[in-house]
Amino acid sequence: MLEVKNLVVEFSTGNRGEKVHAVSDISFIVNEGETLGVVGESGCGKSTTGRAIMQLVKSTSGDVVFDGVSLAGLSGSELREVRTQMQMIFQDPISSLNPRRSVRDIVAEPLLIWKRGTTEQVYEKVDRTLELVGIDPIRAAESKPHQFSGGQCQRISIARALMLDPRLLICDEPVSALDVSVQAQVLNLLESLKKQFKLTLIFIAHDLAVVKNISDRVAVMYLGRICELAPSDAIYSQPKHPYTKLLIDSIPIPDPTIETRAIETLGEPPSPIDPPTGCRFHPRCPLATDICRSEQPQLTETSLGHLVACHHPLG
Amino acid sequence: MKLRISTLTRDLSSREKVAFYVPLVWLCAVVFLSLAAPLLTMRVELKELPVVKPTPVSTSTTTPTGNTQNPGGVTNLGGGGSATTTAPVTSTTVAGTTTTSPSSSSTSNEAVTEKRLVAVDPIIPIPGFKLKPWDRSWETVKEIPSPRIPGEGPSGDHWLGTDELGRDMLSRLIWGGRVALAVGIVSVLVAMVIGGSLGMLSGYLRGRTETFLMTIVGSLLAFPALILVIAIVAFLGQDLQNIVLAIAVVAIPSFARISYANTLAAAQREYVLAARSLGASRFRILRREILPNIFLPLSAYALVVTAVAIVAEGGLAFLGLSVPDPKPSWGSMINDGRKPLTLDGTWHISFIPAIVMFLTVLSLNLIVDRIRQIAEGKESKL
Amino acid sequence: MSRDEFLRIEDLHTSFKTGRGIVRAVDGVTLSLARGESLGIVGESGSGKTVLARSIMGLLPPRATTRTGKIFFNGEELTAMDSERLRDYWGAQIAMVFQDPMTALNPVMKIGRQVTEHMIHHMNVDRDNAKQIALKLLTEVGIPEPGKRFDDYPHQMSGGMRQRIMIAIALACGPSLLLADEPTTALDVTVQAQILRLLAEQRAERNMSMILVTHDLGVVASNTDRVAVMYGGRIMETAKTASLFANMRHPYTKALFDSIPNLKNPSHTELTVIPGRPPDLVNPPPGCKFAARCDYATDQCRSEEPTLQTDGDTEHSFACWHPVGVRGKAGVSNA
Repeated sequence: MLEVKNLVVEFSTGNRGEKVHAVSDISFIVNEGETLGVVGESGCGKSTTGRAIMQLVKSTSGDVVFDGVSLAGLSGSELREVRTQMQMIFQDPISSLNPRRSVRDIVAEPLLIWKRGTTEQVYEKVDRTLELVGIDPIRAAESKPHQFSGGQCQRISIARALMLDPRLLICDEPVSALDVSVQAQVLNLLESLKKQFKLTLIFIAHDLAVVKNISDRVAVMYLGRICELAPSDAIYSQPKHPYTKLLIDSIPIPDPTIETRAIETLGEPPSPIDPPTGCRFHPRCPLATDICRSEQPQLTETSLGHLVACHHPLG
Repeated sequence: MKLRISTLTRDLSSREKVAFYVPLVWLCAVVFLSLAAPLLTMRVELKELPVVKPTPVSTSTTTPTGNTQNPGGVTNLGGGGSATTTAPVTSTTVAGTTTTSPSSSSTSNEAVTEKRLVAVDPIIPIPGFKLKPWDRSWETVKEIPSPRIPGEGPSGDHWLGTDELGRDMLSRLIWGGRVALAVGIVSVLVAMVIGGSLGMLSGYLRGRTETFLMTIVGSLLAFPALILVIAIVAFLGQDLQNIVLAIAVVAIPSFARISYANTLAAAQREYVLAARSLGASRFRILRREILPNIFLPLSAYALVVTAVAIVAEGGLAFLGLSVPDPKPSWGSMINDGRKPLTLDGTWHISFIPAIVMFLTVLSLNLIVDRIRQIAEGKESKL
Repeated sequence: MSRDEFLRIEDLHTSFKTGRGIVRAVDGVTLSLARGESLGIVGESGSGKTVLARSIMGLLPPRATTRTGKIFFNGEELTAMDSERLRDYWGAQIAMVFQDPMTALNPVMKIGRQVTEHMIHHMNVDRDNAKQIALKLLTEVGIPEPGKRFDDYPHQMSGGMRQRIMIAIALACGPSLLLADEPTTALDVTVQAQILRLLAEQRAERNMSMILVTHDLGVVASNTDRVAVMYGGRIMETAKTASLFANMRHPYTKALFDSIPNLKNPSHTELTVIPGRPPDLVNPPPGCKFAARCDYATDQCRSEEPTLQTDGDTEHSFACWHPVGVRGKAGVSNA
């Protein structure tokens, strides 16, 4: 359904010649009806990937093919048309809603932009969708976003994204600003909406546990590259990339009987302005050798559906 | 955006409430009186009238000699005239007749039809609102029919006294408020609309538009404001319209900067991204997503500029560049009082308009502070 | 409690005046902490955990805040002190690490200056000595090449490094109590693990007490001796970390724990949710604050506020009329 081909996104920092290598040559496929999780630390390019798929940021090179249509070559109005098929939910639930407009108005906006249906039909659909995501339509009509809690705002965002009946939903850290108890509500809501509307999801987050739970396949990103792409259960049970292993081991387990695993962590992710040569993880990798420093590993399939980009895969 | 007064004063202590309501009442009074000036005060107008009964009148008793030159030559109408001092009976009363020399002691006039100074009653005369016809003759004349006492202190007849020509201070303050209002509201609105749009366009469209517009704005900012105003007024002519225009031009770049900065920040927010991903056009995003969000900071700034503009007009008047004499503005009234300062007991001629201007600007600033507090409180919630 | 009490908080209430009314952010909290002990305060946003930490420090804006209750630190009553005396405690005896290392450091001051400033003020050391101590400290908190970093500005460092600097500043005067308010929330997981380990090491080395405020039960599990779970400004349950995780008595603790997605579960496992949302602290409902979202709530829960009680295990107390889990071994209760 969606194919990302050799996508590269670079930003100039404003300093002469300095470039942020946000996304460096990534390729993957999203199948109809599946949920692809994208996980990584801040600055790994996961959000940029999501935005580049929507063509909200310009890709430096590479292409995104949606339903057989190459998005890179589309004109402004064609692009606007295609974008209605894919929608996005953003991280900050409050910032993604215009604070000066009523919630009902915000949710109606997509239909008003595209002039779909009469005013009556529009608001009938708005109310129906709001109810579906668990927001009281009467309250929505008279309230501004800041009168709702973070979790509710995220539900409103989801309602807005559903208004144009999209097929692909890109969720960019939709729950990381929410409390655990609310996070679970939103995740369950996304799961049920996905079934109901037969959506395809790209779920971007930094929390591996959350991503794993909701996704069929998970892509682990590090400094603009995908280091591992595998079915979500396999990622956890047999991580093959040392970075994936580090990521899993770093998650604090809510069980005091488990001793904190002594993980040898080497520093922090370097800046994407000047990424390391070869494998980008090598300065922090306990297994790094000379080949890692000089040669960039390619994403290769080691077992069925399990792709890893490492010279010395684990297991 | 609902900005009710009750939300502005909700969590205020009683002292803070006073500091909010008193300025608010003051500003409302200024606006109301200025707008209602023709309703409340009498003016003297020049009208062609058949002479009923020429009356010789002496003016020498009160006119100070130092003030008799008429620099603008706007009128050659003189101070002779009969005084109908009583409360208005008819809509027009004969106030004065044409004479040649203002300083002449007495002239009897035998003409049949004359251009005469006519006092026009207030449209709504309020009983007890003691504004007398000979006192508000700023429209056409500098020299007023008598009886008048220049530089008189506050009294029952003239609540705030009279100016150096014997004109009622209160009336002139009220009429002067119209200039302050025009400068403070019209020029600021013009500047806000033009500057705001420029800033929004460059902040949202970025790229070449940004470079081009911001270069213009930058060079305007770099140009000394006072010289620019003087140049505009000198070039276009000295009247209210041009003064308003000049002040607007000077204020445009700062509005552009503010709206530019706020647009940059708002454009970063995810709701703009969300609107783009919904397929909204640029114009729609500007109008529906960005404009409502930069409106509050822009209007808070507009109130500050209003205060500055009122003071700026005063400064211009001091340089003799405000509305031409004898039309009053607060600035020119302060300036007028400068001349007879040597006279005993005439301190009020400068002092009262200065106080009025001060209170108005102070009130504006107090209210801006409060609105800004609320706006920031709201903003932090968003 | 008979343990050596290093910090004792008695019936602390903190409320704010806002436009909508009075927010009871902390509503009757009693806690104690032994020397060298690490206490975790867990709660969701709005549970009052951060306000509690700041109330201990006395770091709340005085204008709109009212604070009642008593706080004893090392036998001295902090709540009775004027700000002049409190300032001797701040930084020197009690230090704080904040959530956001980006904003908690002064962006226009060099790192070295920020680390040494308090030392010079509190410990009467001269600049050169302070620098020596600071360099040692920076090494301890894991800053590579501290000599070079000493003259850097905060923006030249990564988030994790800045948090290390914050910790160095907090440790500079050798405090006996460290208040860490969500010290790792703004950091990536791999960096979080490093920072948590650093805090544990430093605590052991200095025999320092620590209050670790966090929303993450996972962080608490491996880094604290005792845990207090907060909800709606009150403590819902407090116990030794091991016994809390082994036997959750309060339905809220249990529900919170269950709503965390577990890596061990296969994907698409339906998560247990806590319905509804946290209570409004402006006009809190009577009774148990959690009653509206609780599966076990009865009329009693909605009308009467439960107090902390123990049930067998004397170190495990919970505020609930209908506790879940297993009753403690010792002790009798006739429910």
